Amino acid sequence: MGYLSIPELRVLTPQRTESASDLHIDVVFTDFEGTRAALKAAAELTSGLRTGIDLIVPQVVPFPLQLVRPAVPPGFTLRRLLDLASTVDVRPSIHVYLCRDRLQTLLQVLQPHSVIVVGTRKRWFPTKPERLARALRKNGHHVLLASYPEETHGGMNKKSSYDSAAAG
Amino acid sequence: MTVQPQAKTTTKVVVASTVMLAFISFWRAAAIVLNDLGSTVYYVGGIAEQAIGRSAPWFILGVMLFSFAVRSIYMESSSMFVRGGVYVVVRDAMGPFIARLSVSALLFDYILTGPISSVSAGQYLGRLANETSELLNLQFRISPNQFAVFFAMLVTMYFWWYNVKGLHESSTKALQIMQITTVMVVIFLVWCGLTLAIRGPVQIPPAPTPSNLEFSEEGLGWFKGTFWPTIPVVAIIIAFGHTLLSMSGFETLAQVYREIAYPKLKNLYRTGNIVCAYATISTGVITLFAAMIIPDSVRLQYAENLLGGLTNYLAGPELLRLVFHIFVVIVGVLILSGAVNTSIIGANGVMNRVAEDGVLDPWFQKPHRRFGTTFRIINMITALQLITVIASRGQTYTLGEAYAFGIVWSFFLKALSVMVLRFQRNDQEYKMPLNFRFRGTEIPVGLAATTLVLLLVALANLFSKRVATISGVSFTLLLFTIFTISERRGAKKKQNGLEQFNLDLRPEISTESIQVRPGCVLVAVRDYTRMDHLQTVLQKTNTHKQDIVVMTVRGVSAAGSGEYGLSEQQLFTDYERELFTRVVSLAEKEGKTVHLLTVPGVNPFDAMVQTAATLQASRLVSGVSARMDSEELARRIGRAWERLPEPRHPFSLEIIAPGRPSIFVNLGPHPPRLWPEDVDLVHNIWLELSDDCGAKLHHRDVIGVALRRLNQELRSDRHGVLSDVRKELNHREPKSDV
Repeated sequence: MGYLSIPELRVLTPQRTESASDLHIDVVFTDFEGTRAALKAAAELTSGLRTGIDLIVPQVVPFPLQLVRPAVPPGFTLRRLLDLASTVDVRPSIHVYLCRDRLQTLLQVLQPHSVIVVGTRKRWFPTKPERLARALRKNGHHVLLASYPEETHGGMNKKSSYDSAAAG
Repeated sequence: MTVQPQAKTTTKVVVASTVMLAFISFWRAAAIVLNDLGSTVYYVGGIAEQAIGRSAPWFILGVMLFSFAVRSIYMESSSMFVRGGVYVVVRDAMGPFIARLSVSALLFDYILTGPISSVSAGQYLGRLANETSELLNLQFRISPNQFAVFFAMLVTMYFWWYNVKGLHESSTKALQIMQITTVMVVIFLVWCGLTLAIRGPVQIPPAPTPSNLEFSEEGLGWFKGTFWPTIPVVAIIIAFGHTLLSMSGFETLAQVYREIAYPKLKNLYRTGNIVCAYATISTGVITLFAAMIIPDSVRLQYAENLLGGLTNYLAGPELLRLVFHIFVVIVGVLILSGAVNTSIIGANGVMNRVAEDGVLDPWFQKPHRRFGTTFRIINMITALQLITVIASRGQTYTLGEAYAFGIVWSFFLKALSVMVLRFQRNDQEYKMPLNFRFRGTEIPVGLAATTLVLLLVALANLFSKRVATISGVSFTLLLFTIFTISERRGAKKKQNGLEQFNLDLRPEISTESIQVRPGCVLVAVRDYTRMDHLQTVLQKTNTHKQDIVVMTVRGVSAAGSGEYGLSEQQLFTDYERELFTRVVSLAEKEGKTVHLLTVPGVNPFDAMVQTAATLQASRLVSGVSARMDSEELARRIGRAWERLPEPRHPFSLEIIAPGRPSIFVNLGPHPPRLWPEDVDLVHNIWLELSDDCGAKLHHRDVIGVALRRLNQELRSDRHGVLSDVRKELNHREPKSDV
């Protein structure tokens, strides 16, 4: 089965608004708490470097719904993510992809050998983000897990730690 | 989708909202449909036998074979509507009034799917707990009905919260469930076959004849005491109506059609066949095996968990059977719980869809403050499902009887609409078989017969299923009233089914920014009534090798394209929306992917050529212009190419006119395609000169000298040269090189 990239629509304008960074780190959205931890970890990693952070959001649309009519409007997700990013004082580029399959979409949109940060809750069993990280590593990406303890749920300033040993 | 600048985060935020359309194989499409359709195996056998007696398995097998005919109806509607759900098809064929009725019936079907699935899962779990306890000589017992209600409420509430949050799992999960289910089906088929081979059948279900039908009191409903059930045909139709719910889930076939890969219709045909064959084997054959292996005397004890009962009567060690029983229940809980989630999502989707048509008050669509989902619709659906669960008291029979109402009426209205469209339209790429011509008129015998069967079954159900009729009619009328009042209030402007696009303003065009490979085909569109060239490109292009980019130029005045740029609204008006909706529709129909692009430009030819050059397109395709002939169009595009800054990317221009061969034009420096007589002339000159110049002289040298002399003459005798060129143009066909 072949997955093909089809942007639904892009409107291009001729003016340039910013210059791109030479390096960048991708933060993959898992859930809001995990993403907060991942953004913080990414910010720590890139501190003092001229590095851009891309927040990649594969928004899964379940099958009874049309792909262009997700349960949550992408605009709403974007605003929520902007708020989230502002709470951790990170200014990422945010990319929302409406898709059917999270992993397939990530493999399609991520550059080869990307440096990726994934947030996950600390659990004794493999969490969904951990399984996602493993799958991404299998496909040649360098994945860092930013784990946060259970009690940080809802907290803004609790310290997150990234598992450097997990880097692929 | 773009976010307006915010004070703190504006400068570095680039927002892209993109759809990753995944065209799926027919295998995956079949698995998705079967996730809905396959779950009925868990409850249909018990429900049908309670209603019509021991010959029920034959009727279930008959319904599963009849599903091939219903598949054909869905194929025919899908060949006309890429998104041919019941609502769209009925609205197009018979107008909004009947469409509202059909969508109400469909919603009734969705809302009942949740309770029947979760209650059935609860029954399997509760009864497994009791059987295991008995096996272990424990005193622990639970009431399966009460447990089923408790479990169903738990599952429904879980999925309510899951849907309110709006964070969904990948479709891969559904496929994994289907794979596990297939393992279970294969084990059942093998094990049942071995059991029958070792022991022989305990009994064979009586043949599906009127004399063998044993209707229960509930199974006859308002027919009880009347002469109707004594009429053999009527009795058969009533019995058929009690087993029709085994075909629930076909609507998903229409939903997945949009995403089935090229060649779409052929793959839909394959999908439909796989679905029907799988359902016939799993639901039809396994139910038949259950009737042959579980003794008649005890089978009704397992009416609520027929597959669980079947595992108890298979040949083999008790421990192995218990393990398989547990496996069957786990699979059941997975597939049936998944159906609860699908029912909430599906009903939510349908409600939102009708809301877009202005037949549901916008109040229902208010997004959740924290999660952004349409929580009021989700709450309403969940509340109705919970009420249904409680009202059923944990009995799948009651739910099954009511469930059939929505299924049969939505099937019938869809079939009727497809038949009406046979006489209204002639763009069916697929027609249900058995069509005959009588005096020049096509008589759709197959379609009419299927529609008639569905009508008769729907009417029979109306009288034989009291619970279904009372609840179904009440629910349908309630929804219909809500829709009608909402529409009259006219609070929401109709959008006429236009595509919802996510706009992504980008500062510049590049192959990276819009993720297309160099060598793509760029198709320029402007008039949505003239899209033949796009259709040709979609048919001819292999999108695995070449991307297709469809662009339109948004004309702006020179003043308007200044330093402040253009807003989303300026670039993307209702016209562009309509235009791209048609483009997406054509692309979907071909099952090919396209990249859409709107480019502002003062001169459309410059904008097209610049975009083609920036994207490193191999070909720019245009349709014919209403304002100029194709040669003039090619010339203007060629001039625009000349205005590009060096180095200029070379590409070819194709102008496609309906019913005529394409005109190909190579833009920029390229070897000319010479007329045959000119090739002869060059050759003759070369022959003449080669005697003097020797073997080093080539044809290219002859042309080189001729061109340089022409260039000199152009400066010394311009009028003479121009006169010759004009003569050349007049006595030959127009050349295609620019």
